[in-house]
Amino acid sequence: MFVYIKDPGLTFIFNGKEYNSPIEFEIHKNKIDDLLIQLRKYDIDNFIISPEKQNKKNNKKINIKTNTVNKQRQQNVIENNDNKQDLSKLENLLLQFSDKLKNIENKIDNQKITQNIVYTNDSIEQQNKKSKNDIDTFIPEIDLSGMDSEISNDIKIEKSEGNQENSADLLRKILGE
Amino acid sequence: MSDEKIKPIAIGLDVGTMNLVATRSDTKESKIMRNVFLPVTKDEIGISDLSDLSYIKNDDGDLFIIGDDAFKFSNIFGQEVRRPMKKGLISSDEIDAIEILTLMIKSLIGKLKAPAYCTYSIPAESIDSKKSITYHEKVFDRILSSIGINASPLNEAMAIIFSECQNERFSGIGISFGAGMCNVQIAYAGIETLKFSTEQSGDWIDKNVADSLNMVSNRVTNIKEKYLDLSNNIQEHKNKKIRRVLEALQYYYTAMINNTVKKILKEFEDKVDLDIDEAIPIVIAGGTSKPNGFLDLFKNEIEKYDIPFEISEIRLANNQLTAVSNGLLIKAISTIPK
Repeated sequence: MFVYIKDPGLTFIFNGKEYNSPIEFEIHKNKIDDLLIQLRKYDIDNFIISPEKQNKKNNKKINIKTNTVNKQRQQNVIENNDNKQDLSKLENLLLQFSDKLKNIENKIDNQKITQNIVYTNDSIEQQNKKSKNDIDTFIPEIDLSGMDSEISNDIKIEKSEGNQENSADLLRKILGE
Repeated sequence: MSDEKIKPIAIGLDVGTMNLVATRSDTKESKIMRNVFLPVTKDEIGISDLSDLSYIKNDDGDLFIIGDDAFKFSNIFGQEVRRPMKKGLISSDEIDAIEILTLMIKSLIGKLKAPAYCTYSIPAESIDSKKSITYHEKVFDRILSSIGINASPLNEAMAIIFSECQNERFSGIGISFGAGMCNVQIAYAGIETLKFSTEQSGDWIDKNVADSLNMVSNRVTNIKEKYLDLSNNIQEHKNKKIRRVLEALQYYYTAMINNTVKKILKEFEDKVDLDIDEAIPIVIAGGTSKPNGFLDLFKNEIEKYDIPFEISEIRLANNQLTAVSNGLLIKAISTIPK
């Protein structure tokens, strides 16, 4: 027979052994009366004595939970697989991107090498001129085709003061030009 | 055939955020134009005849009112005028800026019957934003080259010293209070010693006043140019709203001057290792220094600080609007081979 005491925190001594609830244990059917006397002695009246083990239900519940966990695990596995696939796609994209970057870097390096080879034979003035031209290429062309204007209406005129020629002569003298 | 050598023409071109000023060696005149525009349609301005207006139009039918007319129309419509330049540099917001500037400069300089050498103004790098001026410098080089002019750049505050400090043999501190920037140059015997710019100047004042009073900036500019007198402690205008604007303008003018003086002192302390034995002048120019009372306000504010060099005099340029262009012309003449 199986004895099941569900309520927690109860303690009793039976056959010289201490039991702490919740607990389920098996005893021989001849010992049931002795056990009932003992439980009464400890004011324990909420218990089940059954030929079947009560914990089976608990085990089932646990199994259900386990199944839920397993389902979750399976779901996780599926999601992980999806993530792995995504990651793998990302890795491929990164690899492609990295290859493209390498190509661009190589092209730039080649250009630098070419420029250095060309510039090596140039004088400093020529190199400076080429650097200036490099900057100039970034400045957009000025396209005035098809544009018409009448702006002179809006110009104010003031007499300029001083003798700029004399000032320029003094400046030349001071700067030693 | 005559053996007489054709005399080259020198040009000083002040490229300002608010005004373009060109001075030519052969005409002894400075020409001034507002560096602003307003895109409109003919329907918007309700006219078919553009003869009284300054404008640019293109093949696509775009119409731009230019200069003072742009200001007039923008104030009527309650819109902001557009600027080919912003904070002293070519504006990255305006796709048509370069073409508009080219046509304005071409018109301002006028016809040339001899080889021309132009020195054009550039700002110093701003200590507020650290923006590079290389693109700006190269754009104007290209604009002038495209109209057949040999071009070279010069810092605009240095141009003030060339224009105004002959008696001090080109030593001094030039400060250009423009619209987009305040440019400062310390020079000794014609040599640039320290230069920098700040972005707290005319536009900064107008924007802050406009934001404080919930107005558009060009309305503030209009009131500033018409009524502001910094020598009056209490503005006496009858219109309450204009009085509020004038009051706010005074606060921001004082803040701008204080900021500029503090930055001169800090830059001087951090970067200049120069003992100046002689007293040097401070010369002020630029459209933002035009209001009556500006010089006294500047003197009152600078007196509050301990200046590490001796100042001989604080004075305004003979003409605050044309001083930069005049100094650029002097530099251009000095670079033409005799």
